[in-house]
Amino acid sequence: MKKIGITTDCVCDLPEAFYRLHDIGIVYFYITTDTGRFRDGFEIASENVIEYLENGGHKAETNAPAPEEYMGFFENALKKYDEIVHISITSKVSNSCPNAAAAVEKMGENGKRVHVVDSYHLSTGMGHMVIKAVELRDAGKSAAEIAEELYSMRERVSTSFITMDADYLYRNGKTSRFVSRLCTSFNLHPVLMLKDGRMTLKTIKVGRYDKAMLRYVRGELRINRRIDKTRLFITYAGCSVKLVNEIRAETERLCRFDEVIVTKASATVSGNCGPGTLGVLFVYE
Amino acid sequence: MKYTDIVTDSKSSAKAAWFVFTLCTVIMYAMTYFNNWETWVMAALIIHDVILTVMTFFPKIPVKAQSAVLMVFSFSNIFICSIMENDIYPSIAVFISAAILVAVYKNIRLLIEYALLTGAGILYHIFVLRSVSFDTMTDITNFVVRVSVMMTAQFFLIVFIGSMAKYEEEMKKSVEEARQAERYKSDFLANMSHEIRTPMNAIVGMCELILRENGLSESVRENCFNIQTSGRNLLAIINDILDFSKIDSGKMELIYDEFNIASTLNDVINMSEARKGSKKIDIIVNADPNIPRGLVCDEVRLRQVIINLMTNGIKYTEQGFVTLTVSQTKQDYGINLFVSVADTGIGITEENIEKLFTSFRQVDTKKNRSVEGTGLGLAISKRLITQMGGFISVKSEYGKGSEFRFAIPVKVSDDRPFITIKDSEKVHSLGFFGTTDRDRQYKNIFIDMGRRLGVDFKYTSDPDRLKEMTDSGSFTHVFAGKEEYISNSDFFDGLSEKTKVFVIQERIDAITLPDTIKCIYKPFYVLSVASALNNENIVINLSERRGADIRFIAPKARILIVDDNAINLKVAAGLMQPYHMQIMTAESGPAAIRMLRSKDIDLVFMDHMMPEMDGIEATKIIRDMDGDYYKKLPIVALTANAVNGVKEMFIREGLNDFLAKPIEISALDRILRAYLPGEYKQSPATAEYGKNDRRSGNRANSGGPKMFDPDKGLMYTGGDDSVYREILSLYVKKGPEKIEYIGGLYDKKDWKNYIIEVHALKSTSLSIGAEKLSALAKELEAAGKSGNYRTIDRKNDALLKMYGNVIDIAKEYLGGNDESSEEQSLEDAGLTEISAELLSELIQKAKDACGSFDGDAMSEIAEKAEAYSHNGEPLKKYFGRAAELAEDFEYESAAAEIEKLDVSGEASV
Repeated sequence: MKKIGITTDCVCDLPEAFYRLHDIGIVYFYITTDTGRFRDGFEIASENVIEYLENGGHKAETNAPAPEEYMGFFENALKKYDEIVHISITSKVSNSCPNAAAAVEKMGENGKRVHVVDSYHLSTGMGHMVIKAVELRDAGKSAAEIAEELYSMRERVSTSFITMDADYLYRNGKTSRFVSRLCTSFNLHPVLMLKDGRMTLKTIKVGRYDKAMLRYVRGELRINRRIDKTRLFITYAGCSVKLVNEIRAETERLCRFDEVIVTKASATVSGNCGPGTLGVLFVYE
Repeated sequence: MKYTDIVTDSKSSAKAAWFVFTLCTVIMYAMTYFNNWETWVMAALIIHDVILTVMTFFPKIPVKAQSAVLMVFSFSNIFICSIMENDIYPSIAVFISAAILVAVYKNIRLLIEYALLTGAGILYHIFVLRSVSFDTMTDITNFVVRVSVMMTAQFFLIVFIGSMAKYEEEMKKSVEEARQAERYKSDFLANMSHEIRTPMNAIVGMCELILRENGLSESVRENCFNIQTSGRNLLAIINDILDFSKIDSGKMELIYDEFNIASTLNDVINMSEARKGSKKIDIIVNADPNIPRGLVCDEVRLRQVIINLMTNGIKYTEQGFVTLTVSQTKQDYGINLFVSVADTGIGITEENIEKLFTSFRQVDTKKNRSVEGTGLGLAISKRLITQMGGFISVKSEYGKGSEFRFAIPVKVSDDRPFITIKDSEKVHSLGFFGTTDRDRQYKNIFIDMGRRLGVDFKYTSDPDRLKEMTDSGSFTHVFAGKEEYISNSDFFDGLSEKTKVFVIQERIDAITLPDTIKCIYKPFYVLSVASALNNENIVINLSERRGADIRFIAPKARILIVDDNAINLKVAAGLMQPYHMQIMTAESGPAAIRMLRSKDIDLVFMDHMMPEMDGIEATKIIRDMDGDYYKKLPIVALTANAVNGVKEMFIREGLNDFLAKPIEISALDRILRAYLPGEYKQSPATAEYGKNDRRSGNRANSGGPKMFDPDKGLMYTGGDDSVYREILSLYVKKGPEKIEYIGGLYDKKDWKNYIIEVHALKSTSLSIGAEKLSALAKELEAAGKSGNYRTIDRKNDALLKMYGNVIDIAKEYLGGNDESSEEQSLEDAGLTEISAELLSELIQKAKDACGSFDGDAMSEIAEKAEAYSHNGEPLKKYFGRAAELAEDFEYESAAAEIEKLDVSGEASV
């Protein structure tokens, strides 16, 4: 039987222990600040990038690894595995997937042993797909079968986030300054979702942020009979532990999941959404 | 909010107002066209908009001027709109929408202007144009409702935005006040710390002077040392506060200079080992040898952060490991230096992680109540790392441990690796470690080290596989853990005849190895391994480190050691102590230069990497000083640089030689032999024992210092020769009986009592200077305790044989005589055996004297006791020491000394 390796981008926000436990290879994204270029999750953490920007840091650009880097990464992984399934962040918000695909192309024959899957999601939405890939691998599926299964899973994954305001979205060019001002002035909290791989505005919550967050969570989990109850991720950036615990309690009240995993968002996601970002990410049946 | 933000805000508002005005103008263009207004209106509108556009986007025109012009033009437009249209409502609607848009920018003044404009427009229509009909009740109702809705909307917008603006203003004021208070606090702390530091320096300095004096009693010395240690601890805290205040007030300036990470690692490891003390934890160091040789950063501050993190790790860990990892990633600007300190300590809860980097805050858990500290270390570290342009973070699992990591961007001045291995392709190494968690850590580091050094490193934990692998003879170096060596010592001893064998062990609890086997002290890391592989003469046998092979002493030689790190100075001075030289230390290049003005230093050990002035710069200044003395003075570089060709580099720079850190005795010995004037060197025997011919003669025949070292014995027994000789006599006297007894216990397999006896042998042997026997006894004690009876089976005979040898050597040392000579010597001294009654009486009196804190009475009793012996031992030994202790107000210790005398006649040693 072929040895299948599962690899992914660091922005899938799964706990480090999980990568180690299931032998998942990680490709690091980069955050470029005014002082240097740092590997996401290794050299710079979620709270670092938020604090940096909050304290007057001007720039925190996020970059996917270049095709050459992907090439090196895949070639290294192929020394250990016969085939690789690489689950990439949605190609609609990052160059990661096209870069990985370009690397595979450059690798020639060897590249045929690498299956790059455009997840159409990010953060732990993508994490759900990585876990699925691990389960399929452990069940003895081939790399092609795993990739196919993941493609069909994309539509069932729900990736959404509520952000405190639109300030960070504006800083990263995802929205205008006017919208950002509008949100700040009238206490509006955008809820963003991934639809067909694109980040779109799902709804806007108004009022006190802690209450708005709870309303968001209730809204997400309200049709709970359609939700796969195996696992729920609560992924956050720059929220207090107390607030996250309250959200967790609320999710448990609304819907009984077998497993609720709380994870911190990667520096890349945090730098794009800002402090106070929180998402409940799950899979529909 | 910063001033620049406020400016940006008003500029943005001005642009927004311009945008709204232009929007209104465009609507009016449309109205002009569709409602057939007069053509001059179009021209007027265009002129207004052009003027406003210029005013908005021309940077030199102040926002206030633009605002005033906008107001005038708005009035003008509303006027135009009003006179051209009979209906008031379209124009009001235009201005209301504009007001809502402007509200987003929280510009309250602009909002009021719009409200006034709207009001003026309404009044204009009512009273001038009379376009508003009030003929019917419906007209009146319509007007009132519409105007009320518009005015209410305007009013609420103004109130809402006004209160938000006011709130923001108050917030800004509060933040500014808080910052001001913070500055006052920092200034106060800085001033206070400075005021405390000055007298503290004096206290610590004076203690140092007292400690240098001869003839101090032990208790005074100990008390003074304690004052000095406490003073130093307090100074460290004050320095932390000073640092923090400086960083907080933005006065901390980083000094970027070139450095070699090897030097930093060496300092960090020395400090960490010192902090670790007797804690049963392993310090593991995993450093990437490919880190560039020349880095540019504030090395002092970098080291400070790493030491802070290591100190924290050690402080909060009771068992397991503290692992330091240092690696790099290449970047366009140089490298990112990545440092991680992971421990297996108490860990931190998630709630506490949020508070962790906050100043003056020690995370409060029940588990760390006993841990001291100001809580400033992490706050300082974080601020320093931020100032260096990097980031620090923590991951932790409560109860399992924590990992602190940071990465800083660092420029590179020399990109060659900081460690290189000579003929790396010819090196084939084999590691042999066990299967415990600790061994697994070493295994991982070992494999990783090999990969990074580009050297063939193989690994096994199976003894049979080890034998199989080494049979081929293809391995040039074999590394083994201490336990693994002990379990296979015969094999390794044989293997060391054909292959280089290194045993990795702790400095404390180290075992003595055969001469053919080398020892690497923990932490086992890339610098020590590189030295071993490079065949540098710095990894040596334990016995060498202990100074037992020192072949000369030089009491007249004056040595100056220069290093910016106090612990390094202590380590170096400690290693030189067996040479009995006069050691002076300096903590910087300029301090060393000042000390050299007296021209009485014979040899200088100069640290290479020091802040402000490095060793090479200092050497150049010394060489340029007037006089032959400075040209000829031997200066030896102290360096952790493990790269080939370093010696040539130092010689080129005017130094005479180099000594690698960590300093090892054999290398130090070579340097001292080469650079100390011949007339200063004396043989230890003639120097130390010249006063006592009998002893010096015996020492020459004593069978070697490894087995028996009277110097050490003297040291352990307080330096009093007569006391030492008394103890030694007793040791010799009881020895044969003990050998028989231990042998009997071994035959009966009475392990419980066997362990007790070897434990006693361990301490008594150490106290007479028989370190080798003591170490063996310790090993057998440990073997007995862990149930490893095979080791006892293997080594018991050797122990008893060695015990016998030590007794013989000690007998020779004492003058080739046994009891009779001892008794004779006592008789010679004129001592008479004391009666049991008199002894009992003296003991009681002495106890009473101690109990009533009467030092004079104790001295009188001691004088009386001097004339007697008991069971062949002079009573002076106990009473004299007790009197000395009482003189130093150590009454409890004095009483304890008397307690040692048993009325039944047995004195314990």
